[in-house]
Amino acid sequence: MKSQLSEVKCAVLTAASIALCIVLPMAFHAIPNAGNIFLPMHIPVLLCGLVCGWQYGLLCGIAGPVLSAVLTGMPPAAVLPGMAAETAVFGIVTGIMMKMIHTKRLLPDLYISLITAILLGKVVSGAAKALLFSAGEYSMAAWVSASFVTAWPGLLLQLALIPAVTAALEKAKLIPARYPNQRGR
Amino acid sequence: MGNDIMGQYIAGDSVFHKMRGSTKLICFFLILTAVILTDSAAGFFLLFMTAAGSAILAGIGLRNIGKSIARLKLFFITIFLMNLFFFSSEQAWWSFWIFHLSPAGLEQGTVVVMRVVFLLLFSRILIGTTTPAELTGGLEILLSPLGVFGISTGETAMILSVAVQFIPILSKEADQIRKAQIARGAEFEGRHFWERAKSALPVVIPVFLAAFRRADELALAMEARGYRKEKAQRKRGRISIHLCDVQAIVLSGAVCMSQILL
Amino acid sequence: MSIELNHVSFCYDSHTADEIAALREVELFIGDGEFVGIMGHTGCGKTTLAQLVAGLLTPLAGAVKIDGADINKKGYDRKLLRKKVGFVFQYPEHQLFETTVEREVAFGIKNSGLSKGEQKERVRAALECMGFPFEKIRKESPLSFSGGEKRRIAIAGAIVSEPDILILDEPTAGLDAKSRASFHKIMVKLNHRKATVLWISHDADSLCEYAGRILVLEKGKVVMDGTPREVFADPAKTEQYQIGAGRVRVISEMLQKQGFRFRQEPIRYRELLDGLCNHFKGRNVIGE
Repeated sequence: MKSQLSEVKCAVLTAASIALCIVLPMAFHAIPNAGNIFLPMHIPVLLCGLVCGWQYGLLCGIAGPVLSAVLTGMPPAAVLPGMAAETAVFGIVTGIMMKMIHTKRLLPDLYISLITAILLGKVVSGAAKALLFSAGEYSMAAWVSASFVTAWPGLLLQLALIPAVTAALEKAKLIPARYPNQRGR
Repeated sequence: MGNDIMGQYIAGDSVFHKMRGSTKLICFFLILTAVILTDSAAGFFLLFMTAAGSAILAGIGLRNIGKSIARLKLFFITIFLMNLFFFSSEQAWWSFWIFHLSPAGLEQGTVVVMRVVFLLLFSRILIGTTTPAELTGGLEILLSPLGVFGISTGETAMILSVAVQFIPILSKEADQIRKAQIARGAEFEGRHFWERAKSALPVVIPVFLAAFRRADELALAMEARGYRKEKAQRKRGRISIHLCDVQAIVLSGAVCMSQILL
Repeated sequence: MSIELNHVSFCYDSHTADEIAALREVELFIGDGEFVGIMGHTGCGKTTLAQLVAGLLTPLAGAVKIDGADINKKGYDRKLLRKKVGFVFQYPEHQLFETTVEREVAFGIKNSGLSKGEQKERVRAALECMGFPFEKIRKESPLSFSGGEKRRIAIAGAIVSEPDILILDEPTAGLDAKSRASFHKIMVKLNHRKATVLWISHDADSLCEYAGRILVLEKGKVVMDGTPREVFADPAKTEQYQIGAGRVRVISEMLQKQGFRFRQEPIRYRELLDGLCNHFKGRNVIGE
């Protein structure tokens, strides 16, 4: 995908993704019950890495949450460092994985990249939280529970939504088709 | 919705207004770390003095800040209650099923709420004294190490400023899309998780399409006007650092260190 | 279904520094089955008015009533409101998201209690009303069509619930002439279905052609309310309220400057054509 996009386009798409990191959570807050479990900020970062490559994914992963925290106060302070570390990893890993994996079908490529990114992101954020930010407060149990048990709905949502969004973007010809000669999934 | 964010800058003449955007961001992150590390009464008192002093220096009234905090009162109450009842079951005053009202929970609830309040306070001061342009300029400088990975500072600057400009535009589009889907009978309250997840699609997909469409048009316009990556290198003049910048960073660092010690 | 606005006011960003008064003390009654055009300069409150009627905004003061019932009162059946009021936003193709046309159009009636078979028939009817062969396109992705086609699919999505009130916010914005012409044919069809139609537009010719009544707004107030002929009678007012006279009026004015006489000012193409035909049949005074 990425090699077919010009650098200007990648840059502007990254800008749009960063903006969505701020706009999406606000849109979800206007919908009752939807905001807190859906982690909507992760979606633009993952997509940016998938479409534009790992450098842009990294930029989006850092700038998105930071700008959002600074401009809107969400995510709250205690969560920001861990989240920024996590999203930075998301951006990098999806970019690298999409470069390395070519199963000749879009969906498997997406799923493998996403799952790897999410797992690694959780590992890194847990480690970062343990080492840097909560100086010893983090136990294994707390990490596992925070990372997976409470966040699994959001994780599932990302796995479901992102392929749907990617398919829509390809259909609308807003991103180049990864496998142009493939019909259907 | 976009007005909410963009309209928070209050023009003024204070020492905060004069500081560089990157300085304020560094200080903000130092104070942020301080806030996260605070867990003693003395620590919170120090934070309070810092916040009060900053607010006075910045010329931002208490009422403004009070309003921002009041808007999130539901969030605070929820977080407080969650910690109060779920944090710990040791020495519980009262227990029922999974609910344990404990002194540790009470302390944790108070601490967490106070941390968020202070964060809001400092965010408000930051945004109130820094224009979006200064913020992105500051962020760009702090992100310049990314130049190593192939994204020049000029490009980062462009990306950040375009992102900030996109926010109110996409915000309005997202609002319109949400209303359009509601008008068609979209329901966002499902009985269980999967229904609610699916109900996000009618908003998420069109919003992404709108964002990428706008990005597409802008990229085309920029290419047509001859924008090239190399041209994006900013002219690097002498970076002027004022005394107030240094003082601010030192002070913030001091607050942060004291929290580690307290 | 009748629409009533009683002393309705609305502000954006109320109680903030950016407060904008969008509607002030609007009093309005629109009867069942009326076809009403809404015109006015940008920012005069047209979209706000439409969204208030659709229940997408809540008035700051006053009441919005549909068939006599206040839609913002507690206990009002919102689900029914969504079914009864169809709203077509500007650039409605931007809200498409489903994987097939059939699912996209059926979105609005998914939770309406209709059986799968009934839903399919409604979708078929809506798409055929918009000029599409149902079987051919039902499995296609809505995103793979042209701009004008996407718009017609989106409008099909709005009319599939067979609403009693249909609100269209500048539905022909950005369309080429051919798409606009086919859209107008659809408007004629919808008119005959007896729904109450509110049509926001800058296109005076289209409104004169199809609307029985035109409302003109300025700075949040209704400043003119009458038949197209009444509204466009005074060129000074047309200029003042920035509603644009339309080509028919412009042509008739040019002709009158050349000495033509019309017994009645033409506001529709048909009337202009009749007048010209009569003239060329040897009469100087048109309309006799």
